[in-house]
Amino acid sequence: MDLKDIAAIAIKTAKGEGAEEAEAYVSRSKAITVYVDDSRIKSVESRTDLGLGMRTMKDQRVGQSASFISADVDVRSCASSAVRSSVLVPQDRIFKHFPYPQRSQRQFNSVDRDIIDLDGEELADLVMSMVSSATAGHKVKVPNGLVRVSLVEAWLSNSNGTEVQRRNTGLYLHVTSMCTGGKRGEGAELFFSSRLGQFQPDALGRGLRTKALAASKARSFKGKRKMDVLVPPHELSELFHGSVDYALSAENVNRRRSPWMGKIGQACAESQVTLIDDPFDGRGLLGSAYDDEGTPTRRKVLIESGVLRGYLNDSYNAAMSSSEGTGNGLRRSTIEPMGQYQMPVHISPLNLIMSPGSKKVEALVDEIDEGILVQKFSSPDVHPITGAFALEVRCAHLIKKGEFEGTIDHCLLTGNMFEALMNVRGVARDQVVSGPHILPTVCFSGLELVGSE
Amino acid sequence: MEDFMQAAIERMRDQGAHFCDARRQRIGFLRIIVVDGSVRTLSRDTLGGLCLRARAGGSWGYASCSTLEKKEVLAAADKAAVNARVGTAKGVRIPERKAVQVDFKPKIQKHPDQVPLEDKLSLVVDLDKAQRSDERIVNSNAMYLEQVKDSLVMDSYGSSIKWQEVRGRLMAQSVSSDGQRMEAFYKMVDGTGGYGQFQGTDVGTMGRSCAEEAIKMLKAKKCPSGYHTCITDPLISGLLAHEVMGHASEGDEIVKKRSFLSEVVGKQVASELVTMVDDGTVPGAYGSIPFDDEGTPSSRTTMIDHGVYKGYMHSLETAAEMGVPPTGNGRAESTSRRVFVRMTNTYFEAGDWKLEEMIEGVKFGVLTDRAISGMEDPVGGGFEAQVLRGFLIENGRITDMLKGFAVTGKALEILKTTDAVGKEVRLDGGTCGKGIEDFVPVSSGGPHCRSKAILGGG
Repeated sequence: MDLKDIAAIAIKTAKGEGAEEAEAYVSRSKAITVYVDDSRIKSVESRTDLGLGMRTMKDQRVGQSASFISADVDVRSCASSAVRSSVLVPQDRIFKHFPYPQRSQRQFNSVDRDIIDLDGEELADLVMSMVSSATAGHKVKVPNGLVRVSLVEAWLSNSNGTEVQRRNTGLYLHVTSMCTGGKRGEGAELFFSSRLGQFQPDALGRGLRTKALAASKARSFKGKRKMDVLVPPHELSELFHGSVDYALSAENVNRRRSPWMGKIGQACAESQVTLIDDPFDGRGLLGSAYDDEGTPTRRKVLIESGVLRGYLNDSYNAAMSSSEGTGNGLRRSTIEPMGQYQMPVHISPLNLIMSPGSKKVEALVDEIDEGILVQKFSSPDVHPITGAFALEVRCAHLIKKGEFEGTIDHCLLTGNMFEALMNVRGVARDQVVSGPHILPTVCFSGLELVGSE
Repeated sequence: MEDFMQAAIERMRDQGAHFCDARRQRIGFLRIIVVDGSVRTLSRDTLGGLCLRARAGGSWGYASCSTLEKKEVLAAADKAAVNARVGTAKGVRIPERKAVQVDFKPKIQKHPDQVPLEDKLSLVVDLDKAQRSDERIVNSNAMYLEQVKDSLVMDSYGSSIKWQEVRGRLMAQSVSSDGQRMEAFYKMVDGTGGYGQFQGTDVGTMGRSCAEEAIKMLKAKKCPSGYHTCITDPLISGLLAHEVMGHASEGDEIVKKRSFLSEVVGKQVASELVTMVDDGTVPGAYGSIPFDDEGTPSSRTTMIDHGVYKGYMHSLETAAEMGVPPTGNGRAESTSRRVFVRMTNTYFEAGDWKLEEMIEGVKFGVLTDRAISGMEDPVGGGFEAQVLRGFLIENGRITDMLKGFAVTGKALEILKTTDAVGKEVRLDGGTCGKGIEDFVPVSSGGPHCRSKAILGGG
């Protein structure tokens, strides 16, 4: 069934059951995932799904429901369920209407025919060329890995006349590597792209090999010292997810739990830091002309030379703060293409881009008296409310007087992300897509590294 | 539908699969989220679909779909068989096992379907309201999550196993601020015992105490960094059990020798005070399951017995590879996800120490209190836990509250330094991802345990 027709049936059902306004979000996803186990293709997975996410409003009471669609009856059942839920919800004085039709100033295409046409066998061949590159000539294996290509098609209609559609392709890779003899230690590569042509199996394989060898030579760090720390893009992206994304979300500002609440116009980062959310940057995976509520997306300067300029909004939080929606009400993910219909609308950057610096990473290394270049954290989590972090370093390159002096592991890097952003010593000119971010390598000064005694 | 599933199994077998199965699920979710006194979400969701899985050599082919028409089901069966042949992994055959026909319904205190939605909404509204008793609480959150999952697994050896799982969670989170600093605290009740467990919860007390603790945290101090004595509370003990020892005991990590525990059966790996199990049969625990997603009954696996390493958790595949019986640990997040070895309820068993006795014996150290997150390291055996807060211990008594910090170190070194294990075991539910996806409900826990570890405060 056509996505637009499903949405029309759902809205008609909801209105027929008493909803004053109704919104139907229908998504259809297709994905092929190849899993690697011990340097061989372990599983190949083909998935399809179709589902509906419904919001209805009556007397300013919003009900929600989501359902997979196995038959037509699921569409009507989902719409009815949302209407029944809305009756029980207390009146919300903030949210009065679903978005009215608005026209985007831009067209945006994020579909790669090469990804759509790829089959499981072809993807497995590409994956094995990466594995061969990783394992060639050294005692390195690829114990785990997944490579996924996907197509998501989504249609949004509401009873106020808003109708938007979106198609996105994506390629996501997460693969690990380790040496087969001697000390244990693991390397990893992440890769995100909307285009198959940007996937370079040989280069990723070489990266896996280099990282496994570095991890295998790591020694335990002893004592504790403050130092400069270079954080590469994928690790920085995880740190941003738990801090910057949280602090920029108008939901958290309105709920008074964002540390950047009330700080528009104030410095919240060092002057080298400029952050822009740009839905039209073709490198990202979430870009589109409209968000998943039908609000046009736009380029937004959020931090300009360290000064906070704005927050990210969905329609609910725009209403709550009497401001313009920024087009960041999303039901999509850079990793999981399936089941997007069941994701509640949430605020997220589309492509949060940190402006690059002018120097290569190597030049930043040259300037460090004592520090580390992180290869991998265990899990780069930041306490979103306080900004505190204490991260286990799985592998890092020790730097002394601008030179690398081997690798270290099993120590804690401690600090506070919001304070660290005020202590940025350098921003490299590399930029890598990682989830909803496009980030360079960044050097933070004065973080504490703690090892065993 | 069962006819279609049987036809799909026959189709995959005809195309050369030497083992195959069909897994159908339908999951009803209810989510209620109340924030600062307003109902932010009340959503009833239904998810589901069909997953077909075929084995060729040592590889699996999967195909899943949400539509359940016969033509599409058979097309998915063709796709699964083709996908299996693309694989290059070596492996043994899944041994034939006796076909069983099962229809299992859980015995629970009160099925959530019997409780009016209005009552559930009131519970969450009251939990949110109870937190807003002090102006220093700048944000209150209450959440109720309910899941009723119906599964049917049919396989090429003739089994047909149908069962239901009921799971629920009630959570409060208070955010406090004194104008300069913000902190947060949470409380949670969860399990598979039905709605009765929530009816027995005093949400007024739960909400008020959550808020009070969040306010107390505004004066918490920074944790001393370094290598210190650390008494882990049941949640952090559980993270050590689950994230490091548990993930490294999953059979798939052993078969490919990725785990640091790959060759330690029979060896002393921890203090003799330490015993650790994975047990999917614990009544009411959040990670309990009657069957895994391959239709194997869940069971209790002892991994460490008084410090000696005993064995691993298995799916059908890893059990076949290692020539042992499956343990009921072949699990999948949903019908659109692969099955592989996953934990259920993983925890350290009780010792005979009182917490007060453990504290009295510490000259300088830290007592942890609740977890934020943890991460697995089956390769290196490293432990990392993000702790919500803790308490400083000086000369045998608690002297200060500590704000969030991390505990880390080599798991086996921590467990070898364990010199006291508490009397009371507690399990807490959560969701476990392997790698960075494939989330399944689990619980982890244990008693308070006293060891040495690296601490670092952010």
